Amino acid sequence: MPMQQPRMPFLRQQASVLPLIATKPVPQGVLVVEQSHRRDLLMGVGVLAAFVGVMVLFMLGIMLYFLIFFGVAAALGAMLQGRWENVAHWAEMVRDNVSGTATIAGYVLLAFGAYAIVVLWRTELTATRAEPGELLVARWPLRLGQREQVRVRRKLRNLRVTRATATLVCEERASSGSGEADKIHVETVYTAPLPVSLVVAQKDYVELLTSLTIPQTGPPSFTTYNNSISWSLVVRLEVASFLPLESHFPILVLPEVLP
Amino acid sequence: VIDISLQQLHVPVGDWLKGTAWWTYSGHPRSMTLCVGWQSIGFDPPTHNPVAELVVAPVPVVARVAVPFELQLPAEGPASYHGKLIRIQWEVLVRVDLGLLLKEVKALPFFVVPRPLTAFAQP
Repeated sequence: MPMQQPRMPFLRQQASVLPLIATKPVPQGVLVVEQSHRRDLLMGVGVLAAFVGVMVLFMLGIMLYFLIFFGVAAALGAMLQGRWENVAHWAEMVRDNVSGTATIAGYVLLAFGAYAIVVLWRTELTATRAEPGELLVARWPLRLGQREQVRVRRKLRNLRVTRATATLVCEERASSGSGEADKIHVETVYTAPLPVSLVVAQKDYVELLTSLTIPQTGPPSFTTYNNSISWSLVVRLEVASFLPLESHFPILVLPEVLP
Repeated sequence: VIDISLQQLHVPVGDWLKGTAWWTYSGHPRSMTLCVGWQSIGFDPPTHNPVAELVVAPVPVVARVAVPFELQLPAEGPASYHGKLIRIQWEVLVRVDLGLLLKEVKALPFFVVPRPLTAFAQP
């Protein structure tokens, strides 16, 4: 006997499974600001903090080493002589003999410091010499099979761009475990190099045009608390004397397919 | 015995999922629950995300109970997916509560596909 209960009620308004991407409407379309610039800056600060931390630990270690060494050696010498009033004399002798070691430790510190400064210069300074990149799209969000010409622009500070590349990337992310054992697995499921034409390449401003096509058979954007599928446009600017600048622009792809 | 039939196994997002669940009498159940939902399967244990649920109680005492159902799927999906790390799987789940902790459950997977758009001008 068929029952008259044709429609199933929705349990609740389910949380969105589409990623939340910050955009800004502009007359030409929609502006997406890159998310990776902040990470570059933070990386520079992280390197600096790590450097300071290691230096402090290193110096504390050396101090501790010499304190123990002086104390034990002086006490041993005095004990062997059986004259404890000579401890100060023995301590001076030990200090004179280990001054060479201390000099070597100083050189090691200097070399380490110089290396850290080079690393900082190449990461921190490169990031601070550029503003976050901007992606300008005429139609947003995108659909499967959609072909779209996009414009990427970025303000620079005395940087000479020698080459630009763009890649369309789709990645799956899945987390496992929880707490400190939490691990995020990432797998690239689609990648395609895109044709790029540099419209403006000045020392203080760069602008490029590229055309991307979301594959018809690709997955739409998706996110839950432990799994996600994300599309992004990765733009890489090669600059003279500095590290390349890489911008990651997230792209929202709806579950709609164009013929 | 539970049977589930769907009008179509591939349903675009935002479209109506239509079908019928059947219960062939073998004891009088207290209730019959139909649930439509999806789960994303990755490394962590999957969690079922129900989007709709229908509870039939009391169940009529007949030899074969038919529960037709129809439900509009969420417009933003998710679409079914089988990738390298994760899978997204939709299913209709029918649970019959026979009392005394006895239950009979049957699930029928189906596929949610992206909605085809016709009126969209490519540049």
